[in-house]
Amino acid sequence: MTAQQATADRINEVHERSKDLYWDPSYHVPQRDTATMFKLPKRTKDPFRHLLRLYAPSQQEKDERMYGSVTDALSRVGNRDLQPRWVESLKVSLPILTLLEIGAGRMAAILADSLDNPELRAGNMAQVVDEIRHYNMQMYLQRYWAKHWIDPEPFARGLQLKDKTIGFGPASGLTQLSAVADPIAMSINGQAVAETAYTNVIFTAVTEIAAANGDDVTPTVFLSIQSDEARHMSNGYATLAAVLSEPENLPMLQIQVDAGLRRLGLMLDGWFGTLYDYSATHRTKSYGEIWDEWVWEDFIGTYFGRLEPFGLQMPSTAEAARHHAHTAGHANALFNYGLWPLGIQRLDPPTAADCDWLESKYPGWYATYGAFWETIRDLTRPGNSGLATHALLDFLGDGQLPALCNTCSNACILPTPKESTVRIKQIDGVWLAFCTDFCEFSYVMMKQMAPGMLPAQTFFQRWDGHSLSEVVQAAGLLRADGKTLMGQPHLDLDHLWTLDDLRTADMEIRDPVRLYAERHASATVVP
Amino acid sequence: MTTRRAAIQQRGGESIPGPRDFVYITPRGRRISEYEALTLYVQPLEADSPTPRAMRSTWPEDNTLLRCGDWFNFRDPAQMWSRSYVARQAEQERSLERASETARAAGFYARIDDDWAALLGDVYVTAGYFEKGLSWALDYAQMNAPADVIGVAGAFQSIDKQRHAEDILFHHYDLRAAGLPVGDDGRRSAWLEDSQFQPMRELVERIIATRDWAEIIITVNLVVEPLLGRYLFNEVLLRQGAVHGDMTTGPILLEAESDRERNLDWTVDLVELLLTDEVHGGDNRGVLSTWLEQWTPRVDVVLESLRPVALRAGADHDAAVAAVRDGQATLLERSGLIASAEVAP
Repeated sequence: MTAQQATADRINEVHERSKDLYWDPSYHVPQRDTATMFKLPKRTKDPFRHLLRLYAPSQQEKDERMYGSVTDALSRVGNRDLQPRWVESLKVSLPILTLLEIGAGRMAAILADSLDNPELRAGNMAQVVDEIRHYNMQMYLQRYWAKHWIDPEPFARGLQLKDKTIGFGPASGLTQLSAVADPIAMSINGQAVAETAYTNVIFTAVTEIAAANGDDVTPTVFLSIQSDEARHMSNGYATLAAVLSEPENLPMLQIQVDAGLRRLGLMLDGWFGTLYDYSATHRTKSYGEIWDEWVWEDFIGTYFGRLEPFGLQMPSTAEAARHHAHTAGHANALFNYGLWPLGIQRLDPPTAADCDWLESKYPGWYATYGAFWETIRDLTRPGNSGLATHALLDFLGDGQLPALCNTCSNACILPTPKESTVRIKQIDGVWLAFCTDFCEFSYVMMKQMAPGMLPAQTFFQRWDGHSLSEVVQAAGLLRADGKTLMGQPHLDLDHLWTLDDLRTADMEIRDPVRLYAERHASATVVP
Repeated sequence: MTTRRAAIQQRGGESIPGPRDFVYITPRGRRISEYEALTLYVQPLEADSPTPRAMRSTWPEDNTLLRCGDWFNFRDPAQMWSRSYVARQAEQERSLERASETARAAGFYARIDDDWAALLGDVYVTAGYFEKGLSWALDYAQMNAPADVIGVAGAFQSIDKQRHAEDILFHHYDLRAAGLPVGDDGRRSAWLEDSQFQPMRELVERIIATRDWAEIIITVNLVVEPLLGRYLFNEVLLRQGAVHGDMTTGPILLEAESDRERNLDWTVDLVELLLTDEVHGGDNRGVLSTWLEQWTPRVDVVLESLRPVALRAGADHDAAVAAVRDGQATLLERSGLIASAEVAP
C-alpha cells in the first residue's frame, strides 16, 4: 500500500465513523419545534464529505487569498475606472446579502439540529460556520467601502439603516423563512432554490459586472463565497435526493418546489434586476439573460431534468417566475427612484443610452417606463422643478402611492404599473394588499398554519400621515451634518439635497390600503 | 487621508464628509475591533422587520428564562470571528497531524502499555459520543441566542466539540494501526448499552433535550465542562497517560483543554453581563443559581459512575474530583455568580 493510499484509507475510515457519532436519544427525546412532515431515510449520501482536519486548513487558505487579494486590489484601485453608479448600488446590496446569510445560517443550524439523518446533519453543521464566514466577509466589504469610498456614510450606517429605508423589505423575508415550521421546506426554499438557483446569479454572474465597472474587490469576496455555496448546493441536492427516496413525500415536495421558486423570485428578482440593469455603467448581460442562463436553463432545465426520473416535475410556477424575473427589476427601479428620499444610496437615473440598451434587452420597455425616466431627468437637482416622488404618482396615474404587499413587501406594481395584479382584500376583518395571487395564497396558507399570525405593518402603514421630510428625519436618513439627505437622486457631489430642499417639495405619505379601506364601510386596517 | 483613499477619490471627484467606520457600534476598547465590526448587529432586530410576523419569532425572547436589557452588549473576550477561528482550528489540526506523524516515526505508540491502550479504547473512544452530544446541544443553543455575538461564540464551541470527537477517531485509527489493543469498533454499543456509560449518556441527552438556549450554555460551560470534562479528559486521561508511557494522547487533550478554557472564559463574561443588568440582574442570579443547583447533582452522578475508570487508570478519584471542584469554584467566583464558600465541597 502506498503512503498516499494509507492516508486516504485513514481519512475515509474516520469520515465514515464520524457519521456514526449520532444516535437516537432514548433517555430524553428532544421535543423539536421544527419537526418535519417529510419522511427521511436514516442514511443517505454525504453532501460535504469533510472532516474538520481537512476543512479548516482549506478554509484558512481561502481566507488568506481573499483578504490578501482585497489588500492588493486597494493598491491598484486608483488606476481602475471605478464607476460611482456601481459602488453606490452596493450600499443597499451588501446589507441585504448580510441579512440573507444570517437567515441561511439559522436555516442550516435548524437542519443540523432536527434532521434525523447523520449525513445531512454533518453537512449543515459545516454550513453554519460557512455562513458566519460569509457575513463576516460582507461586513468586511462594507467597512472597506466605508473607509475608502468618496461617500462613506451610507456604508458606515447601512446595516443600522436597513430596516429604516424602503428598499430592504422583500429580501428581509428570507430571514423570516427560518421561522417556517418545516425544516425540509426551509431546505427546499433556502438550499435547493436560493442557494442553487440564485447564488450563481449573485456571487458568480455579478462579478462580471463589478469587474467591468472597475471594482476588483467585490468579485474577490463574492467568488470566495461562491466556493462555499457550491457545497451548500450539495446540501440542498442531498436533501432533495433523500426526500425523493421516499415516494410518499413526492406530492408535498412538489408543492414546496413550486412555491419555493415563486417565493424566492418575489423576494430577490426586484433587487437583482435593479442591480444588473440599472447599476452598471459598463454593461455585460441583462438580468433577464442572466436569469435565463442560471435559473431557467441551469436550474430549471438541467437540475430538475435530472430529478424528473424520480417523479419530481419541473416547477409549475416556472413560466410565472420567468415573467417576474424579466419584469420585477424595472418596477423596483421605478419605485426606488420615485421614493429616493427614503433610501440610502445616490441613484443615477438611466441616460438616453441606457434607455436604448434597456429597450434592446426588453422590447417594449420604453413604452412602459420611458416617460417616467425622461420626466425625472429634469428633477434631479434641488430647487428645480420638483421631486421625483410627485413624478412617480403622476406616472402611476391615480395620484396615490402603490400599496405594499403584506406578504412580500414589494410595491404592488407588478408585473408593470399598468398591468398591476394588486388585490386589496379584507381578511379576518383586516384590509391587506397583495402584489400577486401567489402572495395572497401564501398569506392565507400561513394564516391557516398559524391562526395567531399578525400581518406585517408595511412601510406606508407605519408612516401613514407623515410627510417625507418627517420620515427622513425620524428614521435617521440624514447625514452627519444633520441637514443633507442620505439618499440622493443623482451622483453630482455639488448639488446634494437637504432637508430644507425636500420640505419645499414635500408630500404626505398616505397609505393606499387605508384609503381603499375608507371607501368601504366598517373597514379595519393594520394597526 | 491615506494615499490609497486619495487614489479612489481621484476617480470619483471630491468626497462627501462622513464617518469612516460603523457608527452604530460602541467599541469595548478605544477603537472598533475587527471582531466587533464584522459580527455585531448582523442579526436583525425583528421588531423592525416589514414582513409578516410569522407563526413564531425567529429569536423569541422567551427561549430562555434569563433576561437582559441588551444581549448585544456581550463580547467574546477572545474576539473570535470566522477568519481568526478558522486559522486557529487549522493550526490546531496541523499540529495534531504533525504530532501523530512524529509519534509514528519515533515509535511512541509502541511505548504505550496494553492496559492503558485498552482503557483508551474503552473510555476515550466512547467519550467521542459525549463530545458529539455536547456539540449537538450547543448547535441548538447558538441558533436561538438573541444576539449574533453570543450565537457565534456558541457555534464555534459546537465546532470545537465536533473537532475533538473527530480527533478521537483519528487517534483511535492510529492506535489500532500501531497494533495496540484498542478494539476495532467505534464503541457505539458501549455508548448505547454499557452500564458504565449510561449515566453520562443520560446527562448528555438531558442537555440535548433542554429547550432553554442559555441553560444549555450555562450547564455545559459552568457545570459539565469544568467538572466532568476536566475530570475525565484532564485528571484521568491526561495525567495518567504519562504514567503509562502515552505521549500521544496528551497533545489532543491539551488542544481540547485550550478550547475549553476559551469557551469557559466567554461564558464567565456572559454571566457577568447578566448579573450586572440593572433591571434583571437579581432575577438572573436566581435563575442561574437554580440551574447550578439542578445540574450539579446530575453531573455528580456521572462523576461517581466513572470511579471505576479512575481506578483502572490508576488515578485518585477523590483527589481528581476535588481538583475539578476547586477549578469550578474559581470559575464561579470569577463570574460573580457564587462566592467560594457557597460551592459544595
